[in-house]
Amino acid sequence: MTVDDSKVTSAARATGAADGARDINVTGLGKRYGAAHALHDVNFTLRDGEFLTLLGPSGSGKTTTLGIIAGFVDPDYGDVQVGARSIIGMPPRRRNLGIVFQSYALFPHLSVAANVEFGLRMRKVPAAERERRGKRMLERVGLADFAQRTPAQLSGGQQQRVALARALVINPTALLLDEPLGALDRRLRQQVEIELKGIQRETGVSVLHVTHDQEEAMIMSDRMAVMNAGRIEQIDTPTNVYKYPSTRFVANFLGEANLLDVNVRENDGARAIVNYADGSSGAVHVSSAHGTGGSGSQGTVCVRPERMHFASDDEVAENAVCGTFVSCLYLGASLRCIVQALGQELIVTCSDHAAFTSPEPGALVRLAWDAADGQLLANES
Amino acid sequence: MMALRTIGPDVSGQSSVRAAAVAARRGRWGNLLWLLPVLALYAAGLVLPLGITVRRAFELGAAGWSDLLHNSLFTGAALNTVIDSTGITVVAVLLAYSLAAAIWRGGAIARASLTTLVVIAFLTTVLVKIVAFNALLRDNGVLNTLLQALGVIDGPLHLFPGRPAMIVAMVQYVVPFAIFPILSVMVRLDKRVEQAAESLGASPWHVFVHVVLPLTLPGVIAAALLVFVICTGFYVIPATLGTPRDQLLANVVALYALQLVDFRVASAVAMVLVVVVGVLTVLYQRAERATR
Repeated sequence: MTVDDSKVTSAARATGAADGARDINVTGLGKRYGAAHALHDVNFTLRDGEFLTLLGPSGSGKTTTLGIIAGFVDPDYGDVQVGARSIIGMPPRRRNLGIVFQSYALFPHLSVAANVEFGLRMRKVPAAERERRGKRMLERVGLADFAQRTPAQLSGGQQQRVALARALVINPTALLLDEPLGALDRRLRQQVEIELKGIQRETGVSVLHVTHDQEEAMIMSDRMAVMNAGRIEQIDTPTNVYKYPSTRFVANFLGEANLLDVNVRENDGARAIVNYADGSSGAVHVSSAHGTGGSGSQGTVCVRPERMHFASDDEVAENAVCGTFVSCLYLGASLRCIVQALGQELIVTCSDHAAFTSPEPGALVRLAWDAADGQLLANES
Repeated sequence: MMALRTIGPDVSGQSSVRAAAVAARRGRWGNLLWLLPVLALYAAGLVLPLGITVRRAFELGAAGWSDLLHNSLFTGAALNTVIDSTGITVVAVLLAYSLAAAIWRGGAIARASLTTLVVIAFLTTVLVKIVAFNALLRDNGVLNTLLQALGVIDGPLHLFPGRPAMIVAMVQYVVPFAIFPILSVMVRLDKRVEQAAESLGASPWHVFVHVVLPLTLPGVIAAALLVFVICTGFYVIPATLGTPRDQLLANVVALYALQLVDFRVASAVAMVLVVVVGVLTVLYQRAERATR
């Protein structure tokens, strides 16, 4: 991108950001296939310049959501707006959205350059300008030397970058990525994740990214929406989704979680006093803004394995339970211990340092965690 | 000595190499054994008569060949064959393309019913079709009666016997052949490639021209070559639905062989056909391979 272009773009974005003209607002989106709800009341805003990931298992509705925004699927109810203008019913070709499919969907009969220039050709951009912009985009993704090849002559990673260039060259309102890294092998994927994030940051394009890979979502996203059974369970920054999961599903889907049944004694919406299954009392953070039970109700507390630690008998802790040490796995950088407590098996991970000596199996141990590390989850509806 | 060496432990790996060679040889001969009946049939039914044909054709000599090239029966039929085959190929491939697209894009019911219709047309013997076209297209046939009853025409259109009836029947005969190579390419087209084009701003027409058509072109070429080859071999349809002036090369072969009993000229004409068909068949097989 030349200096002039970046000025123009950032100026356009600055004005766009001010009035949200380039935001994509999804409200009350629903889709039914027969009797099954593929989507149920999905709401979110893809803010201008944001990298938002829809994360969920297959069948959670994330690809359907993407298809509706792209215009390939008609919703049964709800609305999708760019700025204040609804795009429902508008054919995909008028939506100005760049899409990268998992299969890349390159035009196999066209050269790499012709693939990238396709969108400009459809927009009747003059040949000279088309060539210039296509070439620049290929340079950006590092494929300038491959312009005259056909897609079949490229590796998977290169094809993926051609697909990205083809989608970006039209200056799309947003980039929609449908599991774009799914076909790449593990090592290449991590490299592409970083590249992709870099390109997004440089161009400032909004990205809606669909994946079932939590690591991919964590690395690239500004925010992520965790989807399950056609609903968004939680939408927040990766850090907050991991640290403060709002539901059992989110806690389990993202990393490992110890889920403890509790009786809620007090709940002021920020902090709760709870009783664990063994009768011991503790204080936890109230994770979800809504839907947690008041005093006297049943609830679930999530504690991440790395947030629990082995405590001595005299250590004062906001939460502490006693249990029996079961086993320990050495994983190099960390240790993964299993402790039988509260009528279930708890996972405790601790970093490998000299001070830590693994208890004998069968030994009585005490586990403790801070109030900030226990999250009272929303009740299941 | 040899026996001892092969029974002994395999130190050098030689015996296993030898075993593989034996197995390969046995596999080759085993295959040949299975092919023997077919090979015998081909030798007796194709190679031998073809050889005789070639020999007969050369018995004609240079003067005979020169005569043939000035024989209006031959040149007329050759011209008919080229013109009719070309026209039929173009029309049939266009029809087949639209029909294949309808099957490809249709819902489950449309797909199943259209496919069934195509297969029925495909399997109906040509004689039944000839009788049907006769009933449909003759002067007092269904079409003329209908058009006259509607007042569209005053007198009957002379469609049969003649080129119109012949061409309609030949097109109808070859369309099913053209559908399958085209359809087989269409069904393998990735829907997402079209969606990508749409998302990049392509209208339905542009998606067709820039994506669908180029990607299905191998199927079109294969279909066209297949249809052309079939057309060059038409005999029954021109013989029954055409006038003497509409006859094709295969009919000239029959005329010389069966009525004029001049096997040398018959062989010469047949050889011209065989060479043309042979070249086209090689091209077809290449095109067909490209569709995979």
